[in-house]
Amino acid sequence: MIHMTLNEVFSVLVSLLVFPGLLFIVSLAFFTEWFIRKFSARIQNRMGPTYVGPFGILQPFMDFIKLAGVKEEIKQKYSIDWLAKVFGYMGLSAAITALTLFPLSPVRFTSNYDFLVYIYLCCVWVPVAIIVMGLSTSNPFATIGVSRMLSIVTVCEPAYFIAILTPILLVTKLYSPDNVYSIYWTSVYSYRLWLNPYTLAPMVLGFIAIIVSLQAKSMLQPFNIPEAEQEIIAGFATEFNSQLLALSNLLHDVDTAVAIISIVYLFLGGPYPFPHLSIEGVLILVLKYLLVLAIVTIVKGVFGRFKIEQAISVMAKYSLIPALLALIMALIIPV
Amino acid sequence: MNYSLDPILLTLIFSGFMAFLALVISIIFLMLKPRTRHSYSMESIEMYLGGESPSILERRTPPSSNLYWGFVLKYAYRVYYYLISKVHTGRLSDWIYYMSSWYGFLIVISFLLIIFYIIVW
Repeated sequence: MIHMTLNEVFSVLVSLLVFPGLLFIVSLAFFTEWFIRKFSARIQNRMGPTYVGPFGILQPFMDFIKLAGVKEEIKQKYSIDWLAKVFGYMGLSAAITALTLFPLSPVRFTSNYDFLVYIYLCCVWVPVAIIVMGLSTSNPFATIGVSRMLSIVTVCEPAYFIAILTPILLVTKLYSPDNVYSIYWTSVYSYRLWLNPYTLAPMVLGFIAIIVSLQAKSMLQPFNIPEAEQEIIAGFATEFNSQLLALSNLLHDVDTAVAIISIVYLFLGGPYPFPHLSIEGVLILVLKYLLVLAIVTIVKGVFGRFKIEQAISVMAKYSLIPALLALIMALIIPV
Repeated sequence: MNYSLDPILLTLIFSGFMAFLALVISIIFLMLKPRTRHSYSMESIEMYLGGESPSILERRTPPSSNLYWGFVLKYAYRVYYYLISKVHTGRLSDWIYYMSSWYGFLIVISFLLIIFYIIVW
């Protein structure tokens, strides 16, 4: 069992509720949403968020407050609101809990094979939460949105899983054989994989695969098929309003932010070789986060929406197959 | 602080964290909830169909068996007829060419696996 002093319990609570937990990740999620909206708007020669805060940076926060704290809740006859909310809370808490596996957190939990726990939290709980939220509101457009989402999830989540397995496997084989398949140790050593000529090719393939699957996982263009605005109203979110819509938007943003943090640590090595508590380390961490976010936003800005069969074939070609190739190469590389 | 745990204990602890965080988030949402009382009109509680006629609800949706027949008709038959047409041309040389090419393929795979086995293990 695990024994903790009062101080340690307090540190765990701070990690869960303040940094990198609830408060930090929600702020980062709002910033991520603002960045995606503003940058893609500028790519398309629009203004994007402008009015609230400098450069409209507080717009996502105000949208959240308006939906969660001001708007009247409209209860539809056939929907089960409480079920949708419970799953929204659980999905959000799963994504936040996963952050304590990374070196970002002052209190870290590690174990052998903990990447399976990460997958359980981020690739099972979050999609299941969104699907159940959609299905709790009875509506033909929501049903179509959920069925489209299920089609996408069957390709994008395995691709995401295989892609993050590549650096984890390589680090276990080459640098940290005592800590098997661990998120923490992979984050610490993953930058070295870019410097080794044997591991460079699987890392490049894995990075391409995870960026494509991140685009699909975050439901951004060209994979915004489950919500498909103006085609099936708002897809799975058609009946969402006030607090439920705020919760759904927040879950989407937090999921995107956590996925980008995962890529920054597992593929790009976080702040390493600098320590977290140094100016260089923090700067590099922020730059890497912004780099991944900018790639995602540029892809969103320049593509239109795919049809469902196009999306699945593109994901298979540019995400699933590169991820599988990367994993096979990682398996073959001699120790 | 770094806690090194076994995977099952980690899963249990994280489930506890999830329940705790879900409770905190639900309390925050409850506190944010507007306190004004509203009376709901009949329009607001009907299903939102985006201006479509309610008759769309009676429309039949594609059955899940389409997934099976879509796969069988689109991909499986194509592969099956390709193989059939390659081997059943009526000429003995085509049959020998077909069979030997597949045996050759198997031999190449077995050689590759032997080399892989010797090098890696």
